[in-house]
Amino acid sequence: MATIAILGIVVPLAVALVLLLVIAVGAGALGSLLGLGGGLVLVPAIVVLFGIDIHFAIAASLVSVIATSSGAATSRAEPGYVNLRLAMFLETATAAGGLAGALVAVTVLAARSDVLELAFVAVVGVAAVYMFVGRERDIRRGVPAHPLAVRLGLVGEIPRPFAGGNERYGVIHPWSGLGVSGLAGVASGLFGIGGGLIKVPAMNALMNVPMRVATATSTLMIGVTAAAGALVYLIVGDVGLLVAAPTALGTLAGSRWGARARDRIPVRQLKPLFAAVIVAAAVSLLAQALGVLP
Amino acid sequence: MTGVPPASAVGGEAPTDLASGVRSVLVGGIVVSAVLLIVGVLLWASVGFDDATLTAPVGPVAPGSLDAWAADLVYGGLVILVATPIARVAYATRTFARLGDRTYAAVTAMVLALLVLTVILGYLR
Repeated sequence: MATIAILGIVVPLAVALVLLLVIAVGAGALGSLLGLGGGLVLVPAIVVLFGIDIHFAIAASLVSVIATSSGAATSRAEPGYVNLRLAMFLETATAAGGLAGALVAVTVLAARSDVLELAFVAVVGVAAVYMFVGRERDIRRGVPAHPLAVRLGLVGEIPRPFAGGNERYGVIHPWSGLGVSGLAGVASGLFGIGGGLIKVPAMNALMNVPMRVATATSTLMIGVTAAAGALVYLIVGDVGLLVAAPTALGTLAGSRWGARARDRIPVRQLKPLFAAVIVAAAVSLLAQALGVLP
Repeated sequence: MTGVPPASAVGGEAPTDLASGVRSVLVGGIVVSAVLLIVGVLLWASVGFDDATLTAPVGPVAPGSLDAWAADLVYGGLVILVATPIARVAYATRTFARLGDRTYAAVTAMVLALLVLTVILGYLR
């Protein structure tokens, strides 16, 4: 019977897979509730608990990001808010970024897992700060849409919850949005995250896209972004079948539950919990990278 | 907002049949891959994960054995999962081309080309 050591305790492989599945369900649910994807929890958990090289953890996380993104389409909660044209416009940059990030991870940083781990800790730090200081910004009414946004048909409408009818929003700064999306793609390929942490605030605050539209559009986009990175990891053989399978299935189940529960759960109150979880995961990863943990 | 064309659908001007088609592609991909992953892992578990490790690379474990079948099913599930968003882009390219929207046919074709480039660069690495 195959066994594996989890924090020094030897258990059957089947037990490890069930634990991985449970962690992925939790990461998918929290990520979906907060619109931030589960990679920030998954990558450190896989590396620290199971002692797996971070490249395999990143690959598994990218596969789970695709599961989250595609699975969101099976939920009836968000699709009406997706701005498909905006997603496809920005995907030109995120796909290129995802490819670049993954190539750097499997070439320049192929033997530098410690560097990747330390950089990942920094990304988690930024995410934790965003959890506390990030604010939803109302769309600026009366601001004319950028000519390129008009030409590309990026302008959309969102239902007004109390007044009734729809409210139109004009997308601005499309080129800056494209640049930021490229950076989000690089972060996705490098660290196995969806990149919503970067794209959602950029679309909302920079491009004047309503937060709910930004979140739903980002959720659709992260599938293509992660696919670019995941393809690289698949081809170079860094996708471990028994890491990726339970991670993808668990994240899929968790994210679908999170999407359905979003309107019933006080999401704002969950932010400190999620911040605490990812900080604890990052501290563990830091300890591992510095050799404090086995 | 002067100069802003009316939006024909909530959340952008994408045609409704494109939105529902995209959803169908994603739902189909996720269902097929989930079934393959579940059956593959359960089949693998039924033979006891002999000689398996968490980081076993993709591909068959021991050709001809039940483990190999299970590994192939899991690998197939993962490949279909990764291919699902790519199929969504391909579907969008075809739909935009069919609708005569050359701008978005080109935009989505560019994304598709980048994904093909990913495969080429991955093998060349």
